[in-house]
Formats: sequence, structure tokens, C-alpha cells
Amino acid sequence: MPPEQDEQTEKEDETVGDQLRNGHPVIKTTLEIDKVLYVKMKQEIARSNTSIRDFLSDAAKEKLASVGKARKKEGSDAAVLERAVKKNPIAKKVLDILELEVLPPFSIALLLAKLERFDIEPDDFSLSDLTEEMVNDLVRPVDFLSGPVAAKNIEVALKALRRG
Amino acid sequence: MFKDAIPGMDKVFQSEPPTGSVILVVGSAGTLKSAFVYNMVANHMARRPNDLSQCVYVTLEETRESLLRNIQNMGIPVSERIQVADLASFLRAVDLWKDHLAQAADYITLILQEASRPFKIPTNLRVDKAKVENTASEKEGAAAYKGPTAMKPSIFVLDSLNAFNTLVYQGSTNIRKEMASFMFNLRERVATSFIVMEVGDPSQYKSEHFLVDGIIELGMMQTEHSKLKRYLKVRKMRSTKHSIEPFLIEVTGEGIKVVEELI
Repeated sequence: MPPEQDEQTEKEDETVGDQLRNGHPVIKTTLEIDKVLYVKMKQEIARSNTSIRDFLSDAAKEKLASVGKARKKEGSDAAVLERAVKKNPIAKKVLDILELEVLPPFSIALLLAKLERFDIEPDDFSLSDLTEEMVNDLVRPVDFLSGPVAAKNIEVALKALRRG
Repeated sequence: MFKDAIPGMDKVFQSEPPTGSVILVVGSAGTLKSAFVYNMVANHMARRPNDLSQCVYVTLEETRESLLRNIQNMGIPVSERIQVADLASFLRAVDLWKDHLAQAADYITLILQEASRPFKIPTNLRVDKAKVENTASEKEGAAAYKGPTAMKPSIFVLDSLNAFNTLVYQGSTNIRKEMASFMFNLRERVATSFIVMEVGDPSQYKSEHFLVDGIIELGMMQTEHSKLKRYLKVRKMRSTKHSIEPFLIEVTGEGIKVVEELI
């Protein structure tokens, strides 16, 4: 899009006021950015036939998504979730059973993957969550790697835990 | 373990490779790499019923069911002493396992350790199968299923190195070093290892050939009557007397056999 049209779009934006865009209120802002970066941005905007507003909005959305993803990963993976699992007595027992046949880094990853699949927070995991479906889901990967005997052992132990 | 494992193999080998050898089995698609290794290990074990050795066969390119189906279709008997470990499916199920490792952990060794854990043979032949599957008490069923004490595998098969590289070494900065460490660990952990590798051109396995003790090449060649024939050729086998000529191989109703030297 030529720069004149771009300016017009920006001008139009100024008149949007408190109208809604994509269902959200619009806000006007002024910012100072590096000139070299600005020139590059304008070139890209001209090339991709978009506007400064859409370009910056998309960039902000992408940035927020990646930051959120990174934070979620940082906060959810390894340490935090692992601690939560080990604090929960039921989750800890399930983990102990899995570790009869599966080595620790794999066992914790397996349990956490299944908790996520069944939308269960490690803190809230209880015996009633250990359904037939979840047991089967935990057992199947054991069968993949260690075979039917190991899988059967895990299945029996998990079912015994469920029965209390 | 070679000479009597496949009919006709005594024409290729005059002596056996030493225990602890790491052997690369290379060839292009459709040259029977997986079937050859499985057939050889299964026959080796079947001929030694009193020897309690076991094998872990790690499959990464196809599922356990698919591998065993192909094996059976070729008339190769399925052995209860070969545990087929579907590592690809397992690693998919434990997607984020690397996040739970200490940064300095040697994850290649860990995978090998996990994949080659001692295992118990299903005792279908020793106990009443119905008792295992239809038992009223799960505890009883599991006890019947347990069988003898878990055994450490003495033979390890990795099928294939190409898939292993893609799946495990992804993002690694020093594959060559890790590969050398992997081979070293194989020698430490199991008696004999077979590594299956798909290659279009023999020059492609240059980087691995010095790390292994033996290389068996499986391939296809056109005869003078324009027919395609499968062959086996031992390119290298440390401390072993063997022929370096190609040998014709065929699939019979009872698996693979070495027919004759190709001239």
C-alpha cells in the first residue's frame, strides 16, 4: 500500500475514538521508535500491502503469544509441576508405580502429560480421577517400550490403588 | 551367532564375531534389513532353548504390530525372547521428558538405559493363557503373567539409526561425539548390538563405519536377465574370518536364506 494511503488509514484511526474494532475498544497512542527500525517497518508494510496499525497489532499479538507460551512453559514444566505432583500423595503413589517400569524423567513426563490431557491440575489429582481411561492411557506407553508384562504389572498396581 | 542363525550363512562367515560387537546393517529401502536382523536373532535364540538370553529390538520407524506383521508374512517365527520396544510411540507419549532432566544429563544413555531395561518374558507358554487373561483376580493374573526373573538383554537392535538421529539427536550440537558415546555405551551394556541404517549410497555411512565393529550391507542388483536379486555382503567384521563377496539371499516360506555367492 502506498505511504499516502497508509497515512490516511492512520488519520482515520485518529477519528475512531471510542468505537469498537473487532469487538474491542480502540485507543490512540504515540510512541518513539528507532528510525532505522521504522524505515524497515515501512518498507515491509509497503511490500505486504498492510497498514502500520495492522502491522503493529499483529506484531504485538505475536509477541504476547510467544511471551505467554514461554512463561507458561517456564512456569508449568519441570520444577513447578514436578513439585506439585510430588506434594500430592495420590500423584506421588501413581508416580511410584510408574517408576517400577519407567525411569524417573520419563515417568514424571508421562504422568504430567496424562494429567494435562484429562485437564487435571497436579494439586487437585485424586483417586476419582484415576478412571479406567486414565489407567489405560498411562499403561499404553509402558507397553510400547517395556512390553505387555510390564504394562500388565502397572495396570494391576494402578487398579489396586484405585480400589484403595 | 552368525554361522547357524540363517541357513547358508556358514558360506559367508568362517568364524564368529566377538561378544560385544556393534554391527551396522546398511542398505536401501526394501533390502530386508529389519527382517534379516530379526530373523537372525530369532533363529539364534530358537537354536539355544536352554540359554536364557534375551533381545531388545528397538523400532523407531514402524510400530511393534507392523514390524511383527511383516516378519510373520515372510515366514519368520516371532520370538517371545525378543522384546520389540516401540521407542518412537513411547517418546511421543512422554513428549516433554527432556524438561525433567538435569541440564547436564546424558539423555542418550538414559534412552538406551530405558530401552534396554531387563524384562520378563510373557509366560504364555508356561502358564494357562486363559488364567492370565480371564482371571477373576487381577493380582493373581499379574502374578501368573510375571514369569521368570527379569533378564538383562544380551542382544540389542536399533532400527533405525536414521530415525534415532532425527528423534533423539535433534538440536544436538555434537552428534558425532554423542554417537561415539552411544556406541561405547552399547558395548558396555549389551553383548552384541545391531544397528540398522538406511542408506542409498554406501559412501553415506562413512561417519559411522569407524565407530562400529562390523558392517553388513544388504542390497539389490540386476542380473544378466534383468531380474532384481537381493544380496548380502560383509564389508567389515573385526576379528572375524568372512568372505567379502556378495551372496544371493532369498525369502523362503521359513524366512531368509543365503543361497550362493554372486559371481
